[in-house]
Amino acid sequence: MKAVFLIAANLMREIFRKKDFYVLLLLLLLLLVYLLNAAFFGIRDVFRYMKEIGLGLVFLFSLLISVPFAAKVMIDEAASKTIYALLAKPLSRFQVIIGKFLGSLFVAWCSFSFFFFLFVLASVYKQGVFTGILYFQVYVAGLCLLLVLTAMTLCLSVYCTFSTTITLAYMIYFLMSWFGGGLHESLYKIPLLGQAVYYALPHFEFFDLRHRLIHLWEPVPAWVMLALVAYACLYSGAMLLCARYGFNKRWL
Amino acid sequence: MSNEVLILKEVSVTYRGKAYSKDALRNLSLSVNRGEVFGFLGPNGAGKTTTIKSILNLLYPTQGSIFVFDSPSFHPRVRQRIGYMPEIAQYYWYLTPRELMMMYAGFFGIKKNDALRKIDGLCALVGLEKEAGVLMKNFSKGMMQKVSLAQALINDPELLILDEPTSGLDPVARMKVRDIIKDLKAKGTTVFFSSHELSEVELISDRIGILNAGRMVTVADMKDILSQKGHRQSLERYFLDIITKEENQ
Repeated sequence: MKAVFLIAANLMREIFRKKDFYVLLLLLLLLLVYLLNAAFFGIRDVFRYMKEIGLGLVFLFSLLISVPFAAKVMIDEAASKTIYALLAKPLSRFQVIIGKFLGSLFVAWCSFSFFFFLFVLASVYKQGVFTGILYFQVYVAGLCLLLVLTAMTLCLSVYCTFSTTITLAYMIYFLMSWFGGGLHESLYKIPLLGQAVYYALPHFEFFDLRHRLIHLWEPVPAWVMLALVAYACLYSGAMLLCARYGFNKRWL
Repeated sequence: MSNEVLILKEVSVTYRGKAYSKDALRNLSLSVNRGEVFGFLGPNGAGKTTTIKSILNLLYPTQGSIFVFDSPSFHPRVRQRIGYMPEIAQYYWYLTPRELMMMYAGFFGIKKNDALRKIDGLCALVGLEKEAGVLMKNFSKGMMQKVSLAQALINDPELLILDEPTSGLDPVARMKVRDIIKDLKAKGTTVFFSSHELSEVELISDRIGILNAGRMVTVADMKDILSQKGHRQSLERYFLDIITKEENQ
């Protein structure tokens, strides 16, 4: 297990020693400051708009960091040939995958947590109301989303090139986020195959609880949150097993 | 305990692409004894790196089997006793040599204090004392080779596998590498290395194997080669004779 954490720690060091992360951080800070000071004259319910844009930015920036990072960790290792020295150590290939996954996930979670924290500060400051449970649920759902997205991207990167991985990951994410709910009926018209495709696709739409926070709706029941976490864990596990299968077969 | 540290039995490796297939190794059999320095020679594309990658389980033999310390080579535990220096020395540019070796030491379960002491010693050995704490992004090829050699020794390996260890090094650094290999041999380490530098191979090897087009052409004692037919000849002459004869057949 120590080896897995060492690989993960190495990845964290990489992101914190690169400039990309800080550029995005600065950009988001500027946008949030702008939102805080924006005066939407004539628009009622200005907080809702602010929260919608703010939350959208938090998710978008987290995606911008996590997807390319998860897509490149395995590909870079092979392309730069650092994988040779790494796999010559007493490690299994699956340990390398898990280490890379944990490192990518940590980076994704860290950036999301930081962006979300900034958003909470900004929105509470502007609105003066703190609905703790709703913020918590949106935050946990966001972490689950990143868990699935990171595992899926890493799995794709074992089979595809960098650009294909990024394109596919974003395509699947946006398609499922926007149209995932409607897929159920259309895919169920095709008997076995449609159902198989429906269950094989990652249902990112499950994790989108943002509207509850924006419109201050009721929080979702605890069992739904538990089911979300369980789904995210199971789906990520399946993705990692797929990645293991592909990586074990590969000649380096 | 067997005297043979590394055994390859009838190993074949075939690269299969969409439009072609290439036999990189053909029924390669070889054994390396404990404590010896084995030089692995061959022209470009002969299959030297493929052999090394097969030993380290980076690619999988199409047929045949490989044993390291009497265990199948695919088991990660055998790599606990192996040190490996790759042909192309590439490491994480955002790390310092010290950080890199700390990470690698962790893979072998070496404790932090022992690892730090060891790393200082290895950096001094390869001549990287001043650069041990500098990010590797600005390192020259020669410096990366030194890092590469140092990291291969972090676990005090019983079997050291070196793929072109002196390429990119200046003459002084080459001599240093030669001395390091000799010292390791004196301590009982088995060294398996590939090289194009025949004069160096001649100076440090106990035995050599010559590979051509994926086949092992010959395995011979260095002493026998140098004193063949009663008069001294160089390894270079011997190598060229063998390869020319092979190509004429």
